[in-house]
Amino acid sequence: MAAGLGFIEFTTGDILTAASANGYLASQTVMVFASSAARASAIASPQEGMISFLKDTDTMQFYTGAAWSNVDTGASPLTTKGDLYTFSTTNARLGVGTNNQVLTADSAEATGLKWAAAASGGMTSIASGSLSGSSLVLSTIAGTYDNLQLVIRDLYGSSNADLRLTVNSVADYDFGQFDNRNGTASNNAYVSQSNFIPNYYNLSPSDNNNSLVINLYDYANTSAFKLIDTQIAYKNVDNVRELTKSWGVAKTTAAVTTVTLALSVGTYSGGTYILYGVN
Amino acid sequence: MPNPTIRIHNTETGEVIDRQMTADEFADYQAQQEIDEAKEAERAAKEAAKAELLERLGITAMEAKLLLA
Repeated sequence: MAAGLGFIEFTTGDILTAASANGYLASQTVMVFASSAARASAIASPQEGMISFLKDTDTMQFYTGAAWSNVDTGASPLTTKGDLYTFSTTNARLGVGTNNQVLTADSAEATGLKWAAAASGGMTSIASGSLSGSSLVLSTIAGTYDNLQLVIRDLYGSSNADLRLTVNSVADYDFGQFDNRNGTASNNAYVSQSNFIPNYYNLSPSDNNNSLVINLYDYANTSAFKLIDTQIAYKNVDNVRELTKSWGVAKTTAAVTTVTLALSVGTYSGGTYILYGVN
Repeated sequence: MPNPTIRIHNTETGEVIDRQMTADEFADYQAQQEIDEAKEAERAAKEAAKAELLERLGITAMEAKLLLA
């Protein structure tokens, strides 16, 4: 069949040639144009129900009475491995994302879907450094995590000393302790203390590879008290290996924005800290 | 003698500063030291009393634990 020639209005006396029959009559069942511009130029007043094919975009269109609209041919828009068949105002293809991305609803997207990085979990380092002076104050802590974890390594002071943990300016803590002093266990309980003490006996003033981990749970909530637990492995004032597990509560409903870890006496001689936000 | 210093780490800006305790902070620090000393004395007294009792009974801590088990 000859290529479509477009549109023509035959008038009385016109001679219908083979070329016209092939190029116009046959093709006017479905009028074929090079582009929508060519169609607009050829058909000044399209009629509702007309059907045309545009060669530049390979699309079939019909005239609604007001505009040319694509004919749904039922053809799949999928072209590539991992493509998803979606819909905007018409059927649409959503190309696969990159490795480890997840499909995410997003009303700002044409199809309402997009591939995006999975919401991050795990631990994020918020602050880190070396202990110095008589206390460490971690301030302006954003409330964007579920929990906080403060990891302290190799801490020791200039004197026999307790550690004192406080959050914000809270001076009311209840806590319990389970202590293993070189094989001898003891349980201890404290109420209404002005600070939370992670250790049972004083720490000795030397580098004993001490290790302390502090967890602050749900620290950003503004309605409930804040749960705390700590674990410390250290050498005590008698230079005896000791483990203390402490758990308790800071009696405040305010979001925790400041964490302070102080020595009861003296200054830090060693130790590093990392504050993690945990999700 | 200068007051002890405090290390303040602003987790938002990353700024770390070391400054001396204010008078109020130092007063609180000293008050806490007294509490700590009292607590430590209490712990030591408890330990001493335990050791004295074991000595009077003529048994070890492990044997006392067995008796109470």
